[in-house]
Amino acid sequence: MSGNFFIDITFWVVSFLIILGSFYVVTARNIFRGAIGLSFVFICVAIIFFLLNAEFLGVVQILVYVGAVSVLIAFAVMFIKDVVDGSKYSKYRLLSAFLCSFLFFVLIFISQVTEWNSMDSIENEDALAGLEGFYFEESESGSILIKKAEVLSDGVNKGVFINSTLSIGSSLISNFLIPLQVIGFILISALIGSLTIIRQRRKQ
Amino acid sequence: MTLDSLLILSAAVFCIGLYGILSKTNIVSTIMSIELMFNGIIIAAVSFSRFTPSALLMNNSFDVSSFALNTALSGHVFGVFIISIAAAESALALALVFVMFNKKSSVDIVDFNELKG
Repeated sequence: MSGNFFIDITFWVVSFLIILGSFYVVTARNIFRGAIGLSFVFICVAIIFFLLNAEFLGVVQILVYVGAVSVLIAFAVMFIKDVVDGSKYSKYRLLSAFLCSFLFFVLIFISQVTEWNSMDSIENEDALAGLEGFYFEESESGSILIKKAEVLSDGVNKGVFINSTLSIGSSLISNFLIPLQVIGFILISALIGSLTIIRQRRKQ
Repeated sequence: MTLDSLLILSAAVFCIGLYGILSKTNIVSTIMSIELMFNGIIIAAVSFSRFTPSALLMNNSFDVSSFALNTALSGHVFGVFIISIAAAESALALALVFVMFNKKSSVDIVDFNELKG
């Protein structure tokens, strides 16, 4: 769709690395190596986000997943006695492999058969620019106009180049305000709940 | 890089994570596989946000500049929400692993079958 050769090459290489790393995570017998492979998969997914023009989400992925979740998992690995041979298979291994490959082919079939909305069906220039260009400029009345990247000259472009962070921020405080509050409640209850679980067990 | 290839990548990561959950007995491996599944879902959300326009933008007479900003990147917002949920979930899971280890000195989920009838 973009037609950029290097973006395509990077995408194929990184997605190959993601699938390889995911297989390593679920098949490695050494559980610490599996955790390291999981961090590698997180970084590769962040590269995919950068390729998809989702800079904010890529940075959040690196901060939260690579920075926090990987450290939590590495901390949880300390509870395992036999780290080198700790990740054993259950007896339903073959059945689950069959079920998951069946689900994979079903998902591929659905995603190929369904007619998704395509960018080619939009005729509105502004809408097309908002999805392809990611350039925004302020009009005289104060509202924000979406402009296609090629339309803007250098003089207009100066200082008003805003990435997806603005859009996510304005979404979070307008359309997604109540989900944002619910996320806050979930985070605080998870924090209090985990502290409570650990504390009760220590008293006994 | 098309929508189809991104959806195949997302489905592959999701199914590999599901296989990890179903086939491993160690609870830390299970948590790692859950994180893999979350990542597959975020890839799908962001690629839908990138390649398919929302229904509001399909309406060609709609005033784009006032509203498209809030609807064009809904997939990114969902990604942020999923990442927050995943962080809270892994913190809770770590607390559960701590309690399980204190109770039976084991983190193997086959040792915790008291609820089995």
